[in-house]
Amino acid sequence: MKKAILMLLLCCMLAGPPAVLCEEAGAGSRPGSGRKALIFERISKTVSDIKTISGSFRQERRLSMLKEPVVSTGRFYCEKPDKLRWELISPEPSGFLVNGVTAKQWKGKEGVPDAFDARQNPVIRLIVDQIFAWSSADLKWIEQRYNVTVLKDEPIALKLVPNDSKERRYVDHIRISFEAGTNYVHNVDIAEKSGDSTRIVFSGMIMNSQLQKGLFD
Amino acid sequence: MNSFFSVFSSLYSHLARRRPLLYCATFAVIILAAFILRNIRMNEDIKPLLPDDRSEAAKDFALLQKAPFSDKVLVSLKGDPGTGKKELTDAADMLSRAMTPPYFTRAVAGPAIASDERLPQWLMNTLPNTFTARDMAAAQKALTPEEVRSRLQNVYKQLTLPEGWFMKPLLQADPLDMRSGVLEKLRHLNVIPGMALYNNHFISADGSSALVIAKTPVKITDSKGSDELVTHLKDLIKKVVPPKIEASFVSGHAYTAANAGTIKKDLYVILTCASVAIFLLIMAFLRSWKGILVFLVPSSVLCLATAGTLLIYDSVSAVTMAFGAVLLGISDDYPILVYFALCSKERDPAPVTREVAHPVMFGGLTTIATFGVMLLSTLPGQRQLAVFSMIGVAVSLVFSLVVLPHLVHSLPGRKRYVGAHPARTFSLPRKGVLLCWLAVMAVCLWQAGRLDFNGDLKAMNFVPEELQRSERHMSKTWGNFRDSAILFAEGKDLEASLFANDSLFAYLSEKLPAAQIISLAPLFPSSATQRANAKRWADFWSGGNGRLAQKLLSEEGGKLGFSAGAFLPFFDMLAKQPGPVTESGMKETGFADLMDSMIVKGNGSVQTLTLIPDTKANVDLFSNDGNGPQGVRLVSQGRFREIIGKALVGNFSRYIVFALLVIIVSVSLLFRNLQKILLALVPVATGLVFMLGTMGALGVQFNIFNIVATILVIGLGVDLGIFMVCNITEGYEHTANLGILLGGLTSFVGIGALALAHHPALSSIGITVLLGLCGVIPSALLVVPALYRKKA
Repeated sequence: MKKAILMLLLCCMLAGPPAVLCEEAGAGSRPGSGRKALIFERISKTVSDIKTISGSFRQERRLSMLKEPVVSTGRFYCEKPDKLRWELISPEPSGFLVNGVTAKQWKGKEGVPDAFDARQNPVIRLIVDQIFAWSSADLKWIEQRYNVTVLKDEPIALKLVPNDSKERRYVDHIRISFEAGTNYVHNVDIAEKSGDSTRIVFSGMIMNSQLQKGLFD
Repeated sequence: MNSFFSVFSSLYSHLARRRPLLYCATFAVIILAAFILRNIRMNEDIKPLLPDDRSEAAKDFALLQKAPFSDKVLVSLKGDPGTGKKELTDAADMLSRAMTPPYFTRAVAGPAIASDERLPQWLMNTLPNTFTARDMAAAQKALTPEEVRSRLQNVYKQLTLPEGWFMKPLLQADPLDMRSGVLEKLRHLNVIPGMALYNNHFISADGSSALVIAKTPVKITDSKGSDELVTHLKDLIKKVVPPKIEASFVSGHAYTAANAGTIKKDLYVILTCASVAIFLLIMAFLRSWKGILVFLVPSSVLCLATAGTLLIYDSVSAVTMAFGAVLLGISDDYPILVYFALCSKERDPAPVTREVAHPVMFGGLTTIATFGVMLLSTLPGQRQLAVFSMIGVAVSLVFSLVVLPHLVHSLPGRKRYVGAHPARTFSLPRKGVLLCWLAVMAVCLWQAGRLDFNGDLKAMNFVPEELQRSERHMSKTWGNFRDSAILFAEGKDLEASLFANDSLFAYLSEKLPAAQIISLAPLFPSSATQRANAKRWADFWSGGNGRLAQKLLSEEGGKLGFSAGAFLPFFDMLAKQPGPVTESGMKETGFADLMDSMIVKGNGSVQTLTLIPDTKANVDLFSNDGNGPQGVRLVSQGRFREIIGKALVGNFSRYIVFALLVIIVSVSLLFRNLQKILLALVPVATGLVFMLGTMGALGVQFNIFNIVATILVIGLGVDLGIFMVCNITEGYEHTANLGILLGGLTSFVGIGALALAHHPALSSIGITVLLGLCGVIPSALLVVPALYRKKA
């Protein structure tokens, strides 16, 4: 019951408009023009052949509440068009997975996964939306959802400012940096309105490998 | 006395010269009745069968209508194995969106809690206003280095999780997790015990079912509206809910619709079967087309009694209409006896009418007086039944003694009947008859001690299999929340009502586990209680505790890596004067549906509801304990059953005493001879004892419907007793046993038709009276003559 109440509370606090988690991939769309269009084309070309992607990440949160940043590490697995497993390994094991319309979340190493509606958790929604959008190069959706500015051409760096008012209450902007040469996402920096920030750095990316069965169940 | 009955011979002679006028007048009266009946409005609801006085039962029933789910339809959606929660909640959303006016005013698949920052704000604002002495003790315990460290470790952990991003303001404002006390109090608002929440949707604890709660403007007593509502909802479910998800629903309306439909079908079956059976019996015994004339009397009686009832009441209860079959069976006794009298001797009908008027009038008037006892009932339905029956018997007497003799005498055709020279009495061995009778009476008296009175109105509902399944599923999945006992804390305004509710909650908290109390009091106390709580909060933190908290958070927080200003919002919150928790604030936060269900306003008073399990122990808390809070009334199905049960016993005793008095006075006036009086009462006594004994032996309970069987058995018993005593003691050939037997048999089949009903209320009346008649008829035909011979 307490858990349910807490979930209710959380959902109520965080609920925003439903995000499109599994929209048809918009590959081939050509939003914008000029410099931005060229960059989007390069990204599209990079991801067009990707079927699966997996790797490690390091998340660093800098909070005004804490003297030192909170560092977490983990792994992620993604299979186009709509499967994602996001695992935090340290300091506290937890994670979530999304498989089409179903989603599960767990806490602790032995935690029993709890089914949930990923649309209703804005944090997870943010991560999932970003990964699916960039892995499928759904640039049209990205442009609808964010005001995109090109910060750098090589390696590519973009700044995304949320259009949605509810997201804007918490997120000031997102900076996405791509790996030079490969044009894969290398790190994501999320700047919060409160001045706090989070950086996720991806590493050891493996493309189109055979992912272990049951990862998304 | 004889001079009185000579009125009938004079009347016969007078009307014999004006027969066309008599026939025209009779025909006109019947046409007039038919004209009144064209606007007949029948109601099938249960209200006429509940006390309408200022009794406890009447008050309780009125309050039960205010129960949180009385105007709600609950739809449970259960998926096939493998159906995800999301599919279920999507289906619930679709269905709730489709449930629109005019049948539904609001339908929700979740608690509709505010979707922005208002909830955490409300939560923190609620803290001081709901800070009880118990909360203070818990807060005091939290102010130790170990506790603070443990709580801050949790804060740190939460910050590392995805939700920590957005919970940060709350964690800063409440590092000691004081809010968990408020969250704990939310338990008291969980009206549906088996309910969990999944993405702001109602979902069962096992995740297999989702729930939609819809409010309807259709009154539960509106059978036509209920039927339309149920049909509409079934169509909606078919249209909107995916086939792999099974939808079942419960509401009072489903019962109303099912009962109304069943009663209508039953009425058709009962009245048709009773009419056909009585007609065939009459024709079989009379063997003359003039039997049709005899049959026309009860048929006209039915029409006139219904019309007469409609002149007094706006509508006729379906149970009253079903009682028409009984009336058919009773009211044909008089024309049958008159017919037999007119057939028995070829002499002037005027003196025959005078002679037969003697037992017929006494029998009829005694029956009317017996039914009149039901006018004392506190149940409007029973009073209507009395009016209907009294009019019916009166009309039958008039038709039998004023119109029928002319028809039988003047119309062509022979007056005859089967076995025109029957033996006057049955010649079974007298001793054997009496011994058998005494033995049966002894056994029945012994078994009558096991008789039970059941005041449960639900037991008298017709519940189709589909509805039973839905009830079982609802109860298993969501808990037995619809059967809670309801406590009404009343006040002249909201504040007074909430104050009474606070006292009630405090009282209940000492007696029951917290999980069993559904109440607004912990989160929405009265202003006075809120002020006291806020003062307690301020006093607690303004003393050394505020400084202690600052010290501990700084020291322990520093060790865990929290910055110096990490929890400044907490101390800002402590310094602020909290605004009160208000009704509008609660509604804006998302508790609007709950508030509307738990606070009832109207008639210059406000009632705040509290729900507790409907157990005897809980009910006794409010009936036996004089220390219970003032201004609180408990209403529950269990208590209601008990009250109705007591009312039944009261009514039953009243019926027996008054009806027996009436018939004793009546037969005393008629016979003026102790032996004859006692003989005439034998069928009544036998019928009652046999009925009560067999009911006790078979486990048939008395209920709010079949209690009228007592009156019927007394009425029919005294009729047959009078006829039989007249027959054997005064030598009225016209009241021969054959007529009595036919009268008894027609009553038997008329009432027996009720036993064919599917509706438990109707069939219970039929079965009970049949049991009584099984005693009345044999005792009238066999025991009365046997006893008479003995006495003579």
